[in-house]
Amino acid sequence: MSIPGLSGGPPGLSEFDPGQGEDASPVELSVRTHSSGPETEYRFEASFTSPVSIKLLSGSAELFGTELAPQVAYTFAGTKAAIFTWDGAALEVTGSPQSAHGTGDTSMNQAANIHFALEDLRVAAEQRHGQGPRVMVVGPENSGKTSLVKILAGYSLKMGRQPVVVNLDPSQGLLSMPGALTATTMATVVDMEEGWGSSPISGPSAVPVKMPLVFHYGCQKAGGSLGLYEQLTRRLGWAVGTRLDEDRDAGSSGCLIDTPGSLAGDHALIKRVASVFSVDIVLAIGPEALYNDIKAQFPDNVPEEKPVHVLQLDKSSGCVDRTDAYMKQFRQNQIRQYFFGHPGMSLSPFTQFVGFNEITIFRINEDQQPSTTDLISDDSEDDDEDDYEPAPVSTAKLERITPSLMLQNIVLAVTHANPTDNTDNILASSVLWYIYVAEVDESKSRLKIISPISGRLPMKALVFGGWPEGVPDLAA
Amino acid sequence: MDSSEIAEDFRDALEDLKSNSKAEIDNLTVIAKENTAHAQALCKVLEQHIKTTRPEWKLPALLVLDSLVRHIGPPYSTYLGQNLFQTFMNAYTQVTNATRRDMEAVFRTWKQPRTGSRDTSPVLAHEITFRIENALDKIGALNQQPRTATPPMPLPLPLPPQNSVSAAYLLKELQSHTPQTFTPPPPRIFTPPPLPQIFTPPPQPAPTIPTFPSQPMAAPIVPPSALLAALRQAGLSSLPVSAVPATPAPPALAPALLPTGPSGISLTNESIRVRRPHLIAQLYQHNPNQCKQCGRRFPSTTAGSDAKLKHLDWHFSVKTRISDNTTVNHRSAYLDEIEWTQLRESSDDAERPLNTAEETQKEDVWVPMPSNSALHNVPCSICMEKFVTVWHATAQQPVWMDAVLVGGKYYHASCYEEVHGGSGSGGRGLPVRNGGRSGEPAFKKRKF
Repeated sequence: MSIPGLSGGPPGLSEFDPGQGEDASPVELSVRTHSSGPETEYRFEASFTSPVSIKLLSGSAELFGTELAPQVAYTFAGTKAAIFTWDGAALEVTGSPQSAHGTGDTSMNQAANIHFALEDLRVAAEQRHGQGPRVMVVGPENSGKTSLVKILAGYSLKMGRQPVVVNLDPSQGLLSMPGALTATTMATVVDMEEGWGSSPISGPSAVPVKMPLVFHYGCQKAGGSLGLYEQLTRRLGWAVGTRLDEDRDAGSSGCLIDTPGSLAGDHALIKRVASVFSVDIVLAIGPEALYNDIKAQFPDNVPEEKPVHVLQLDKSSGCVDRTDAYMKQFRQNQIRQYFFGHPGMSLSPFTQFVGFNEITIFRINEDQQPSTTDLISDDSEDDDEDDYEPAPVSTAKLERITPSLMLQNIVLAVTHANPTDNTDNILASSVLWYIYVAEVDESKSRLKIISPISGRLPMKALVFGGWPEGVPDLAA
Repeated sequence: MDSSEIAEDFRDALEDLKSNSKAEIDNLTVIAKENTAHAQALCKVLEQHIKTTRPEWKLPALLVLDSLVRHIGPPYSTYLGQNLFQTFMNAYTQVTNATRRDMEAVFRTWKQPRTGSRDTSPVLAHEITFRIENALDKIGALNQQPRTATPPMPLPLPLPPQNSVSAAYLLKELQSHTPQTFTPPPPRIFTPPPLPQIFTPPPQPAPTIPTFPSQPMAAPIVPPSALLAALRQAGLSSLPVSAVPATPAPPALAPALLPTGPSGISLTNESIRVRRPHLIAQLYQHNPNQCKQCGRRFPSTTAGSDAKLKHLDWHFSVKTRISDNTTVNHRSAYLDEIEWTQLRESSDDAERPLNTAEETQKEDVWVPMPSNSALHNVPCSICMEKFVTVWHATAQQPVWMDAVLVGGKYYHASCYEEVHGGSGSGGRGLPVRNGGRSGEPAFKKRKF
């Protein structure tokens, strides 16, 4: 699929079949009415530059599990989404989607069944003051993992639940930056237009803000810096476990874990991550082979083990491949929104200059890929049926760096750790906020930074992981 | 039979230990007792098992450790004592809070003399227990710290070191002690305790068999007698069958993940593919009273209408605040781990301002942080110290805790109270926002 302004080519990669729906071909900037029959969805793609506005005229409709208010125009930019209706709906579409069509070929019944099965478990958990289901969604890239997590979260919010949503996919942030691993307790409605919504801001927000716990991983791939990913996952798992344990509402609601596509290829890692979060249910989206492989990790003929249910879900026909160009634009948008907000909620960050000597920047060195033998614990008697062999110790190294032009246009994580802490503490520290390096002035030995918080930068360790990539024109 | 074989069998038995089954733990104790010659290897296996097993199975394994040091004593207490800090604290950081309470209960008994023994020395030597005690104390100090003046979720400002005990602290503590070598203890004469003692449950504050609310699990299927039989077959145990306590009733079945619930859906690939249109009404028709602004639904009951009214009030107040807001906004800071785990979300139809007795006490006195950034560093006009800024979850904005605004000047509530409100017992002179607090000593903020 093409991104306007980047290639201008025909929508070659789009999986949408223009001949399928009523609103067959992309339309000119216009107002159109689309009527959806029961249990159909209206799939559309809106580019970053040409927003599409959609209004529910009659009936009921939902976008990834979150219901549209009647007669309210929602504006979408840089969005590939589907508006589903259980009972039929009439939608008014303003603008020119890159592609749009209606279809009855959805996998919403599966999602709804999963939701109601989870709801049964939540009711049971509530009655015995116990813990709700902990669900992990696994699947290849572009198989609809995040959409499923969003649907399950949206439905559970509709039923008054407060699930903890965990994002373990560093390639896209959740209420934070790309490169971050987060956990957020959702208690209020998910933002229709802006992914999940917004993390807290200094003023009021029309859609309630949500507070994530953020760890900066700083690499694109889950295995990028082997041990570090698991180290941070464990930290996140500890925090989520404690929260679920102590927060009654969240605890009975359980958690929903989104994972990177690359995890689908590493079955042992799936098992370890599942163990960290005490996962009860693994939802494997996509091919049967994947399901079988994952199922083999959780044999159900071990009667005294806590059962881990593995279910196979069909990949929705609405899933579209997101090109690298799209993902890059998506990330840059996410970074921009962190500092400047989004339409309807504009933010103004602060620009300031800091001397090289006022800050301590560490770089995560992911190059030092440990050899496989380093990763295997020295207990060589551990055979393959030892399922809980200790996870590899992080071998990521921190290197203190002097600011250089390399940092220009880069996002740095301001961690909770002090620069004097040992490197393991810094690596595993959660994030306070992010700053953007707008300019590196080597002659004056100072940085021009954009920070969401005013005042002096606290004496905290700043961490740079090499990911996400720089955004050249953020300050422009 | 050499150590590695016995250790291997012992590990297998440990891996089958998934509940606090007394019979299984006793069996393991008997096995260990009969193989004191291989104590070092067995201890290593046990430590490794506690370290690597799933969090919900750590407590049973720790109870084995407890049983070995309590009922057998040396050499097990010596070997296990060497790495006990790591073993215990590592597990402690990974288990649920309920389990932590149980672990603390077990730990307390280690500081006391063995029950039924004339020896008055504690189960484990003071040198072994004091480090764990210290660490637990520090965490306890954090948990019990009166948070009256501190906000429910302080912004991650650098805390004084004594307050910053946290997972990070524990981790650091653990890391600093990690590389351990297993040095054999000086040989000791092993005096076996009278056998019956092994089978009497410790009458001391016995670790309550916790039900694992978070980790429903099925009852152990392998009966301990079968386990023992298997071990006997392996030549490990010469214990007569009669000595094995009758298979205890399996621990009360924790409600397992039910395959089917009221919805009639079971967690199978077939069941989740069945179309169930009748369930969808729970998402829509059951709650017909819809908010026209955001689409949120409420039931058509009196309670539903009340909730909707509060919800609409919330929309209104937010809209008013957005339109009144003349200053620019910026992104707020994220919380740290401890603060996040203590955060509680409030739905947008929650009571506002807070008026439950408990929360009023906790919430104390605050004012919204001035939006004018020039005022951000304004100190208290009395003590000239800066205010503590926190993100206030209910107000959805950053606030200054323990602060009041009087005549355009900001004061610490406690300072103001002290100067203007007399003794501080009634807090009469205090203009407060949310009812304020009463009877709070007003002296904590002043430093002379």
